[in-house]
Amino acid sequence: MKGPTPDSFRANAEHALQDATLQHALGRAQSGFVAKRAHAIAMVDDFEQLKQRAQAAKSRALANLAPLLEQFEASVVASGGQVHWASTTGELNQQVIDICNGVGAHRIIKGKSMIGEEAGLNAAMEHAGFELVESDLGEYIIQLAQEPPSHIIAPAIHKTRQQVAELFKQFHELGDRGLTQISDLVNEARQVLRSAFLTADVGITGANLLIAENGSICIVTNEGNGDLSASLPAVHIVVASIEKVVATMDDASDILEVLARSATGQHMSAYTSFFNGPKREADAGGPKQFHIVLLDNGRSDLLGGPFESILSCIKCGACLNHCPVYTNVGGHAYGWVYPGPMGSVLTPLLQGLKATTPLPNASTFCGRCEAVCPMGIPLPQMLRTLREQQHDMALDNLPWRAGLGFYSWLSLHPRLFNRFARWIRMGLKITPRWLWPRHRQAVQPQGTTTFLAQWQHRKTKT
Amino acid sequence: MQDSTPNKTKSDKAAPRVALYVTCLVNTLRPQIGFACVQLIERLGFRVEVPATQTCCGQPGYNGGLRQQAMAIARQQIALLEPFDHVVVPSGSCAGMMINHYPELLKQDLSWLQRSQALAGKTLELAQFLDQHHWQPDSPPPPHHRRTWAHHTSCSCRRETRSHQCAESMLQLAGYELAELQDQAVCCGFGGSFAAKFDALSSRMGRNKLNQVADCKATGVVSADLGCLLHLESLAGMTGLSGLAEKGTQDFLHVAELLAACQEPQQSSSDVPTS
Amino acid sequence: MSNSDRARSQILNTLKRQAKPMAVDQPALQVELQWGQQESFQNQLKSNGADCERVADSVAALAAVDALIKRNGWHPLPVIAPGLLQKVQLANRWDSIHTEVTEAGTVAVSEAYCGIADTGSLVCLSSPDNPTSLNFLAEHHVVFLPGHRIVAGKRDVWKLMQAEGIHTPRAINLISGPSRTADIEQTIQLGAHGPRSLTVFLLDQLNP
Ligand code: SF4
Repeated sequence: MKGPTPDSFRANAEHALQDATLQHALGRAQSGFVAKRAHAIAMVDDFEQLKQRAQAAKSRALANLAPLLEQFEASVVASGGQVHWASTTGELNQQVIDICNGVGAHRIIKGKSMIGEEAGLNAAMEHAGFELVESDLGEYIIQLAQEPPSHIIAPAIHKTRQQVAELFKQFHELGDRGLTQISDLVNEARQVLRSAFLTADVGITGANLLIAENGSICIVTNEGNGDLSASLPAVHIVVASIEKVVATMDDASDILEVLARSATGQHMSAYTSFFNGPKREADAGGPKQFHIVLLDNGRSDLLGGPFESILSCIKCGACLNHCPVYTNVGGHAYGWVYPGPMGSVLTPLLQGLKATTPLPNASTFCGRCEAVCPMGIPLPQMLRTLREQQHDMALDNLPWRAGLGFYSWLSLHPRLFNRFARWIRMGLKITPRWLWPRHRQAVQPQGTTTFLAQWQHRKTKT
Repeated sequence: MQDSTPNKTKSDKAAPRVALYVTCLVNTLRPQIGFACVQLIERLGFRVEVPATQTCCGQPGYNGGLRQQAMAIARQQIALLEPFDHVVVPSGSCAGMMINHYPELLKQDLSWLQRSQALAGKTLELAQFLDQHHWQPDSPPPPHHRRTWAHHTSCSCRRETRSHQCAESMLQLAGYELAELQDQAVCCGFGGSFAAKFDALSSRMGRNKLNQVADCKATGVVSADLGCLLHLESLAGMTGLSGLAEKGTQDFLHVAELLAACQEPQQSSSDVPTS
Repeated sequence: MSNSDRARSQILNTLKRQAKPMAVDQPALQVELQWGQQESFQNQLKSNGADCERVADSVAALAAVDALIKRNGWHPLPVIAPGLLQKVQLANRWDSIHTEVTEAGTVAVSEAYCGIADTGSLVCLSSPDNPTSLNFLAEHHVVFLPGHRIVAGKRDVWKLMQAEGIHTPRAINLISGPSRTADIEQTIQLGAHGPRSLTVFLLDQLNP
């Protein structure tokens, strides 16, 4: 089954606009996120200052990425853990599989991880014969539905409760229990997943931050699924990309100040946990082995270039929630795991410009993403730079390329430009209705002629 | 800023010179907005000039990835506009281009960078200019404009020139009744070539906006950006949302038009050739 | 050379080549540990959906736990963290006490290291005395926190740990409310995977 791809964004979007169930789900989601964030930010004295601190912590980290990663590695090893490196997603998957095979694991419980999504880890593990269960409720739902996430912090935001109930009916042994309330659905998932936690051999989680000074990894969740995945199985594997590293617990703290507020509009998520190495000798619980697989997948090439600051992204999702394109078409239209403005920047960078041409163009440059991004990432400017690169590589479509080139050339030749403007006026007046898009009324020029021509005329009269 | 506020005599040769950069959309499609601007600025006592060789700020190419061409256009507009004391642009989008993006485009070349920054320093979006120079209405809104208006604050006025509140307060000062439009910070879906490349999406965004206009019981839309207005107007005609007001009156007007309607027509250079 | 080693040198080399050394401003270090206000801690915690109450000592707190259990019809026997069990006087309140969550519907009682006033968060450090799983497996979570141990912000937690000579434990859990999810239709539901409720007792002193 071939799902939507980034390249088919236009068609995906049109499809999404016609999907009444999706539109219903999206409509509900958008307002909630926006209002909650606004409220959380109003509650703090000076959010701008918190943002600046978070950004400073991240800039320090990016300026010292290599030494911090080396320090992080040394700290993890010192606390009894192991660090693995992967240049590509294929290498990451193989390393995770090797670790699992090495401990004779069969059942895997997984906490939400965007790096796991990026790598297609689930499919790779299932292919290798493991039984893998997602534990984040949203991820679990889309795992049952065999769909990619449609939001980076609310993966099943596109699903209605009825659709979730259908999935549970199909995959759980419900007997004649009907699940109609959201609370029923949550409880049902809790029961089923609790046993998955207790019987898993390996827990795999992502990480929101990696802390160089002590080798800790930080996981932020509201459900507590990450903590259970990290604490109950005998082996804990963390998959994370290299740019997640920060220098100190203080720097991590500064970033955490803006994360939950921007994401869910809480000052803190219910659980922010730092895990450090395997269980200590006297500890009653905790994993016996602690592994971290660090993924590059093209990120190191972004350092020092025009897209460096996309590495500051903390995956809070604020840019998605405030994007007029995302909120109208949902995440699947973007064709890969990262949707919305951050996805329109990151996907082309990770997958190449050629296969993702529509994404940087699918923006009105309204600028709201940049305005809400806690990390101050200039997303519109990056999209524009991607368009420039597309243009340089002749990836933009020919009529547009020619049209914009011609208009730009005209703009340098005022006399012709003004003659052209008058032709446009005439043209609009005589354009037949059928040449206009179906749902638009033709724009009619007003007045006798262009402003400049009228002005000139009056000047010469006086 | 104060010392540049001139005496209220338009013929005064010593009066500061304002260049009106009408923008390509106003020039081509709604020339009366240009004349409204002239009236408004002259009333403040400035000498308004319309540089005849102005074209387009270069945004279509710039946003379409044609950086080199956009740089050439930027340099040409800078050279054209730099002799003036002020540059006024009746569009947040084009003003934002000059103020924020010309310096970005020309950052590699120190001398052009400085010239672009100098231009940025004296360029203002129309409502911002009127606000800074204390524009006052002469009369209440004329009868055919007396209704509830939805003020669509364009994204560029909000985030590029940060002047959306100026338009709001000018309109209120002039006595216009503004409706409480929900989600004012949300884009209407125009976005230049976006509207053509992603027509279905752009139209949906525009219709969302029009639905909110209808929800707040407004019977007209006013904005400082003609692009947004034309986009919404072209959609309104097909969604049954047009004819919000009585026949013969326009539903989609520029801030300049509404403000100029509250000013006694002057015998001035701006004598509008009736259309 | 393993794949991991090869990837390692490749990644680090690229990073070193690409990195633009830049002057990074170190933020002004606020050296002093800042203590926080009980009141703000309580308010924030409550706004996160938890309950918080001030009590005189652990005897009063345990009586309150007992009352909670009876009032809500929770599992009659709470699970108490080993460390806490050693410190408090149970006064034969319950006949048998577990230190591990085994049954569904249990109430876990554990001790927090300190609280964070800014965000109403509890800081729980894992140790043989305070296993992490207690914080997540029980149906209801009750936490005892000495009322004077509330710091201002997250940064102060690390300062306090340093000042008290505590090494980084296996797990530091900052808990700011009961487990919750909004994954279905953006509707908040408590008790996703972890505890359905979180009750905090701020103790004026540990024992009478
Ligand atoms: S780009 Fe900014 S707003 Fe978007 S997810 Fe990343 S950090 Fe959040």
